[in-house]
Amino acid sequence: MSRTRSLSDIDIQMDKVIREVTFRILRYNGTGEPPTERDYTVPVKRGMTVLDGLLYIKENLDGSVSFRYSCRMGVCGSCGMIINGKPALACQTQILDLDRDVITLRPMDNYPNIKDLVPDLTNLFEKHRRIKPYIIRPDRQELDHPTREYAQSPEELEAFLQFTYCIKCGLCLSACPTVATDPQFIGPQALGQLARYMIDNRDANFDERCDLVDDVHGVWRCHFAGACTEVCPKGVDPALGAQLVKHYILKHHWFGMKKKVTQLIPETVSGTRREGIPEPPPRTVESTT
Amino acid sequence: MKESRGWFLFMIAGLLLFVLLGAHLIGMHLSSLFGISYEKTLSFSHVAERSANVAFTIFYLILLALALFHGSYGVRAILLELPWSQGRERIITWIVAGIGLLFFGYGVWAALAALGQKGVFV
Amino acid sequence: MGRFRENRAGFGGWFGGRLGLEKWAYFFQRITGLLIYLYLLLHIVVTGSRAFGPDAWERTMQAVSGPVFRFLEYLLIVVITFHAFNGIRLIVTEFFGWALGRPHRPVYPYRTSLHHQRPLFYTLMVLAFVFLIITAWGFLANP
Ligand code: SF4
Ligand code: FES
Repeated sequence: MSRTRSLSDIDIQMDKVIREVTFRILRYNGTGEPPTERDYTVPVKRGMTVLDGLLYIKENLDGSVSFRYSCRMGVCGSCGMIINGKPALACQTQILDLDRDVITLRPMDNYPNIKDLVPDLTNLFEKHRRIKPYIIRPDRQELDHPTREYAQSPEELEAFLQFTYCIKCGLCLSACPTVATDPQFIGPQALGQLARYMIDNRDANFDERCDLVDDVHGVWRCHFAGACTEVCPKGVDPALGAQLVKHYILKHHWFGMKKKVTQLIPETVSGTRREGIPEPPPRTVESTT
Repeated sequence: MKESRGWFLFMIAGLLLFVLLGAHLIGMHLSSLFGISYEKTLSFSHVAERSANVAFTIFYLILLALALFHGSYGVRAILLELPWSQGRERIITWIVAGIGLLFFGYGVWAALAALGQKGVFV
Repeated sequence: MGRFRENRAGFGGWFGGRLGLEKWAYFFQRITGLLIYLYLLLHIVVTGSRAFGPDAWERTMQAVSGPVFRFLEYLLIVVITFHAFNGIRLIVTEFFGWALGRPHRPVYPYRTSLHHQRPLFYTLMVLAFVFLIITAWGFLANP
């Protein structure tokens, strides 16, 4: 007979401190002075994430440690930082999985640092904005005041769905070797999103989108190092997006590739009665209305 | 010119180089695999013989152009990504293109001059 | 507000970061590319000496002969072979968009384009290695 575990059993285990881990946090005070490392000892229980550890520090050890978070479940994309040298979401990283006595935390690379673990993501959002992350069509009236849906099959949706999972955490730009030395490079996040709108068959702006990143600091500064895909917490695969963008641009410029744009679903026709169909039997109950 | 034009040529040149440079490499540096001694391949009589051959000369010139273009474009890509190259993209392109053209000029001159020596040394 | 505020990874970002094979491939592609470019320029100058007649040619060849240069020549072939075979992978993926897989619903553990192109990567590296073995044999046969 298998042993059934009661809820209290699990509770006891969850409360047990399994190991003590040192959090080595790179503290930066925002004045331009060199950042300094500080150690904090955190008692770790099962299921604790790096973000939980940081919250423990903030509550019990040092209230001045700054970091960003909101959803604590890998949805909002606020808590990106470099954990043991690798860009990751603090709320998605289990401390026990890391299996280290010392966990080093520093802010994401390639973003201006505001304080401690808080980066300034403005340029991420600006780059995202540059690729026009919205559906563009000639029928403005319909877009602003929709009357019906645009036809899109499940397969057509799957063709770009992966890229829509991006949570704008910015980890990919932090890992990207090109962004590391070229601040003007459009970056993997924007390229993934550009691929998303290039593939989406509701978007009618394919030709212009091909020119959007076809410049010196555009998509051609990507060399498929794959770092972005490696760190993306949502499996968005921005590297795939960037390669698809290159491929589409080449096909467009050299072989005149055009995109098939979908239209509104046909107006629902009201039912008409066909000839020769037998009448239904008479009602047996009276309608109550 | 749009970046995609240059990049397209860069890739095509890379693909061609794989074949052509492969042939050149095996012929020149690995001739020992086919029983032709290394010294013999590089002796002047052999070199002059090849230089005097029109087909070889054309092959060299194509190889020279492809390799210089592919190399220059690649070096330009690296230079463009350096932190201090922001706003100097044009200058970088011109410098790299200038160096490429200079060496291309010299290579073409050498090939043609060697072609003209036909009959003198062979 | 200075370097600490800017917090850019710089050249360290070209190879660091405990990341996968492709990032190393990217880094070595750059380094080998630069080396080959420099060699190409040198090569054009050296072989150009044939236009000045046999004496000039022999003199130049004399300057770049000997076991050291022969060894460097082998290293050059190693460098070119890596660049060429890895370059084929990049042409296949970046240029043709092949071997990347298609966008799909991300389900954990994620199988990304990197995983999809890895068999190609391994195959090409094995081919490069085999080519280098043959080359080494050719060099040893005729040092
Ligand atoms: S692509 Fe991935 S790593 Fe980049 S911002 Fe989006 S979710 Fe984050
Ligand atoms: S807190 Fe929202 S993603 Fe980590």
